[in-house]
Amino acid sequence: MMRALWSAASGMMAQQLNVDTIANNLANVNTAGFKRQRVDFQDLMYQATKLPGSPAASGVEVPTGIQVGLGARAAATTKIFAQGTFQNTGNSLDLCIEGDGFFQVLRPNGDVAYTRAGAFKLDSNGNLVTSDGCPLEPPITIPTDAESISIGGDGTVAVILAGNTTPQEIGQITLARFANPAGLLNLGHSLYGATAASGAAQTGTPGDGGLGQVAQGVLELSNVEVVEEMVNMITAQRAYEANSQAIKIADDMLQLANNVRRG
Amino acid sequence: MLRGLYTAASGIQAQTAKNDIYVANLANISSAGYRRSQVSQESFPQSLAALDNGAPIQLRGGVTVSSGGLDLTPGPITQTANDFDLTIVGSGFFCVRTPAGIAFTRNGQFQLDADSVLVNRDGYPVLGVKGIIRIASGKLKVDEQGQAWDGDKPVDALRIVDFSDGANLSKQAGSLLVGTGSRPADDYTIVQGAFEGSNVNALLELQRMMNGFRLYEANVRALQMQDDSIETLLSQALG
Repeated sequence: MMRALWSAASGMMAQQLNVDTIANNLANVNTAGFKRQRVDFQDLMYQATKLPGSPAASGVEVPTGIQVGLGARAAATTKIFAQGTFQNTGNSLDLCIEGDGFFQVLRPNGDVAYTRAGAFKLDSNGNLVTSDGCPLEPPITIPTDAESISIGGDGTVAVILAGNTTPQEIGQITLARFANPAGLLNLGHSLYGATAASGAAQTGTPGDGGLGQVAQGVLELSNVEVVEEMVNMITAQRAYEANSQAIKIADDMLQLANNVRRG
Repeated sequence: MLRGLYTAASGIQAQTAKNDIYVANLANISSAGYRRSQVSQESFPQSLAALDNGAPIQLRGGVTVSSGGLDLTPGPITQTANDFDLTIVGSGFFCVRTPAGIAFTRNGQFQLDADSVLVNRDGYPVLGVKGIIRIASGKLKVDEQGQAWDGDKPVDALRIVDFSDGANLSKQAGSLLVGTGSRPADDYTIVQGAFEGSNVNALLELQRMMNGFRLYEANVRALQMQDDSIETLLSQALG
């Protein structure tokens, strides 16, 4: 009886986490470079009251046994790195990656972080930085007298300086990729950190070794599909409701048991 | 008279045990690849006869939960944009290598680990016919027969097994099954970019629970009625 109460509670908690994740996805429907998350659930451990294959009588085995499950738990929140939709902005500092890979940026604490959000800006020294001011790694500095910036599909950055007509190459953007991108750590601010599960970053030139190409003047938007999230939310809500009914039934049974002995 | 009390109590216990199993099923309505547990009950004399070879004991009444079992009907398939989500359509199980040996699962939510090895959510390697599957390029392609490709390069075929008699499987946490008697599956196709959900139906599970609740209630009433009779008898005897 108590098992039922806790199993149902574990089911409700699992659905609560599901709704939390869906709400976060929906909140980030307009966040450039955001990758949606999905909660994957698993069953918890089993209590075997009668093991399959144990002897029932001489020469007779229990064919299936009895195993009582103890509920559900969240196994993982998986980041889905499917490509988001593209928005053509015409802004020469908006970059996106068509395919695999991450931009590398330097966080204030000196660690390298990885991001798909390519809305770069210039800081007071002409460095390419993210909206939070984290500089690209390796750094790209645009000379103050640059008239136009062009960034090629392979990540080469060229500028046309005032009074010149020929573009001059001033840097190279490199991208990083991981064996297991789903194992990256969410750092917030659209940044990811490498972990033991993701494997070490393999850096390279855009377009090489499985890395995507860089496109200028285009932003990668969030890959959240509102309709899909809504459907997930309805399912989660109904599953939550069903589990609460299970608690009610278990509670009613307990109440009856408590009233077996009268007056 | 007293025997009837125990008969009603056995009914209460059996319904409680069944309810535990139904609730656990319901809690796993979102667990990918989960197979719902079934439960059946039998009356006491049969089990006692089975215990006592050749000399059946005629003790009537009473019920016990006798055996579980797995409902192996397929669950709903959800399409995703993720190449590492695989579904078996038809009969069969994926094989994963756990520290305790090979386990079987219908949960096809896989990913790569830091060494580019195809693993499940618990990090257990997914087995191919030749062993673990390494996808160095990070681009997995799986065809309908279960042949896995690392980019353009064929690596191995997924090991899909089936059981002649599914009855011998027992469950482990993580939607895993363990058991003996596996043989290569032959009647299946693999779909990439989709995963199979739980085969628990909330409506049916709630209906089983409600039905069980009423049986439980009936047994409680039966118990109370006998208690009342004993009380009457005692009060008359003791005058």
